[in-house]
Amino acid sequence: MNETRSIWDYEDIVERSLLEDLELLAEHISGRVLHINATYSGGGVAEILSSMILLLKGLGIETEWNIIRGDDAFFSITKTFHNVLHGRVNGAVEVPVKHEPVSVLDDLKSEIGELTRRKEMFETYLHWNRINSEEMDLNSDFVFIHDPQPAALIDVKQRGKWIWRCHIDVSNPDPLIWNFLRKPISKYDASIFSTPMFARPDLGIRQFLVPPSIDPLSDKNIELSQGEIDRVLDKYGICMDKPIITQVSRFDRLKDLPGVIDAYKLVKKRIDCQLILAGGVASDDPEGMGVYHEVMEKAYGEEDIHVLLGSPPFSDIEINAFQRASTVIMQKSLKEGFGLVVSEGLWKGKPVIGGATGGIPLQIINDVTGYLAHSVDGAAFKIANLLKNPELARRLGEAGKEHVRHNFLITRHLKDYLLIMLSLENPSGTIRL
Amino acid sequence: MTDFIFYRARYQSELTGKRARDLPELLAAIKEIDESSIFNHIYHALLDSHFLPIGYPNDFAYWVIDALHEPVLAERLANLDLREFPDLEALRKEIIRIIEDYMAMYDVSRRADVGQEFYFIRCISVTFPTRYVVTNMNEALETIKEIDLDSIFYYFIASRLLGGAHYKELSRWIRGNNSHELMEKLDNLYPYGFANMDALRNEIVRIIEGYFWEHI
Repeated sequence: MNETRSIWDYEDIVERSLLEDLELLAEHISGRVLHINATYSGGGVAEILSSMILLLKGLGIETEWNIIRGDDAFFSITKTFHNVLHGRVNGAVEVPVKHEPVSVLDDLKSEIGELTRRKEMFETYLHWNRINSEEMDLNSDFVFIHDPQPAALIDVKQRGKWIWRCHIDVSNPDPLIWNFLRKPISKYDASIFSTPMFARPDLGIRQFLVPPSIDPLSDKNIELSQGEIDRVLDKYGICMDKPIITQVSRFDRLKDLPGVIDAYKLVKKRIDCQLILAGGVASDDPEGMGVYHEVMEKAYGEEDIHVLLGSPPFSDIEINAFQRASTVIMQKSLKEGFGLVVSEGLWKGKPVIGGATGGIPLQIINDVTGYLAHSVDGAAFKIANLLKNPELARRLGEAGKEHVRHNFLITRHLKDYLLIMLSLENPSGTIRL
Repeated sequence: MTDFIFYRARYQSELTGKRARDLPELLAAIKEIDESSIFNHIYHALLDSHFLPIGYPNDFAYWVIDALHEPVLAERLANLDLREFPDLEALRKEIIRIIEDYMAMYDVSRRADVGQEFYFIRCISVTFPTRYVVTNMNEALETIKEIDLDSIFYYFIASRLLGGAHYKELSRWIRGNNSHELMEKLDNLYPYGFANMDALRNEIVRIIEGYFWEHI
């Protein structure tokens, strides 16, 4: 991939001084930078890297992006890792299925079986990391390893600074799996977390804070003309004759889609409006279709509720159009990672109402860029308030866009990575170039 | 006459691993954390506030009202007169005094909800020369008018507190241009009472232009 992108493509979007600084900082980075994750497409990490790699190259930094390979068993194991590291609602974690014992002997057998299964999981995980380490050229000055899948590549580190970039919440993990992964991760020179809440106190290495970001020039966020927006809405049979409330999210229980519908129904009694629920079903989520059917059932008979299942997935332009057509955007999650979809909404100048979970409160500053809702009633009250007060909606939307401009765009993310590389080469807290 | 190169700083957040859920924990951590954490939570927020006013000018005050619902203490912390502190240690002592005084008078058993803890974050500062190079005071004035707000923040707030090397260089250069009185005026400028960094820049420009008028 020899494609590059100039940071000056963002000249009309961010301050010129930031772009100048990116160039100045990049001049001090010497050597090769390597990023490794699990996939080139699908998901937030790949989305960020797609832009990040082009921009690093555009700054004249020799940059490579590799993905780890493995068989179905390996990716099934890393999916399990992901699920049990990422805490669940109320702090409980999802653990692999364990049968109820009927006797002490059964209990023992079950525990031995479980331990054997985990041992096999760990062996398969290390086996594929070893294969990848033999196949990849890891000889780089800075190696960014994203998430747990390739974390054990550190075992063959020869040189350079290695950084473990964690995109998930590992604050409340399954202890056995975390203790297994902690061993390789502790060998890194530093780690990066998206929010302080997602970090671990037991790593023993430097921990930097780098929130994720959106790319304002990607199809998902680029400006659209009214004609383009209308074409997408026409395609899905939506008329813009009444205000639109939208939640873009997977059909997943943790996104609280029934709660969004309940809030909408309360508002609808007072103000004529419509609701778009647009999302897909994750291929590895067995509950997804069930949630979709429950949502359809709850929306039955409500002609102004548009439940849109993206199958095949919606294009990024379509998602962009749904958000831009909206008066209010919702992200009423019960549990969330960073919830970058909130920044996507704010970037379009829309007020966003979200659940106070994960990274959402970093993006929604209550009553400044949107509202945090703690209940269906709270969400309904805030929606109605925004629909009745276009000036308030405009003010929150504008502040939200500025908040994203300064904190959640790819250019800030790029600056953070450059600063971290420089920090690792100069351990002092004040670095003078 | 020597050239003067304007510098700028960019900051990177690093977790300290310390966090607090109530006032005693906040106080204990403030006593221990390094100066760059004090700087980050008091001054970095000041820089952020130039585009997004949220009512409280520093992270401690904001957390105390938002997570602990202690408006009296939040107001005291918000009202810190930053002119009084020649360095970050002096500021740390004053924050400790304010919190201890409050704890002696009020019940402070309230704890923040899970997820609302205060996380102590230090900032790594990376300073580097910008492309702005000036050879005389007129050029310096024109540059200050157009330079970004991060540089204004760096010279007139950050550099003064974090060792002050670049602020001293600016001071030496201005004095070297036969502008001692101007530098005294800039030294006496209180940079914290402005609504935002633009207002601070305007005041600096006003001082320099006023000085020019007086000395033409």
